[in-house]
Amino acid sequence: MNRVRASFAVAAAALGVGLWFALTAPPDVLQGAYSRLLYIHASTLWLAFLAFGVTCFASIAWLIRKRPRWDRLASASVEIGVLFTAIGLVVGMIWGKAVWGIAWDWMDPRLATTAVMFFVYLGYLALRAATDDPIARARRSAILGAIAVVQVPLVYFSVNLFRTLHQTQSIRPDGATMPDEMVTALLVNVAVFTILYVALLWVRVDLARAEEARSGTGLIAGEAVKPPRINEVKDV
Amino acid sequence: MSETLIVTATYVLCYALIVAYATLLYVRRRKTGE
Repeated sequence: MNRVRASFAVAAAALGVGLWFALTAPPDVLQGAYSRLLYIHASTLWLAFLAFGVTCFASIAWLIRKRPRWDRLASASVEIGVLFTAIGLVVGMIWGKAVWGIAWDWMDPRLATTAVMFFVYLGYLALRAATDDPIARARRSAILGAIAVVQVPLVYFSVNLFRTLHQTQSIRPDGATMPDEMVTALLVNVAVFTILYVALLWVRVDLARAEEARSGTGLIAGEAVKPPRINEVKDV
Repeated sequence: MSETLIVTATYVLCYALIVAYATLLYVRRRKTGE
């Protein structure tokens, strides 16, 4: 438990640093203080992309190696990715209502594809919850996790493919569309949310391993026939 | 409502969601008893 507390303490300290950069960055000339929502909106959604990428990698690794650790990593990453996507969507709607005058528009490709991505990964979690057999659960979710990642580039490039309400990327290969102080605050917050993602992922994977060990489920392939180590045998 | 109030409330909401999830993980991890 000390390792869990330590990882959360590091994440909380990082969030404090990110908050300080977000609140001290200069406001946008047109949007005013609303521009500060960028730092949490973009950071959470970028980390959601990373989380779903990790799920894809771990899902493919499970399909090849059939090791439980890959299944735990894939499902843990989806859970955190869904949380980050939900936060990014909520912040985006509040921001949109303030500066566009509308919280949601299904005709905007960025908004619509992000919502579809959110519901597909919610479906991933529902699929896992609905499957009792651990091998079937791991196989079905690995297939979905490996395929569903195609939505990530679709969401990211949707603003370039179909220009409607949502702006295009603020940081591009040819430079940023905002001052250096805002770019710095954004990159710091991306780093902060990366630390938060790693901390939550580590704890979530550890929790899944502990719950499987306690309930006796989740033994798949090679690990199912490993004898217990003598110092792990209790109540003898 | 002022801009600052809306932005502050949004940050509080988001951080509260993160803290709630972390607390959920912490409680479940404690229940496993390792």
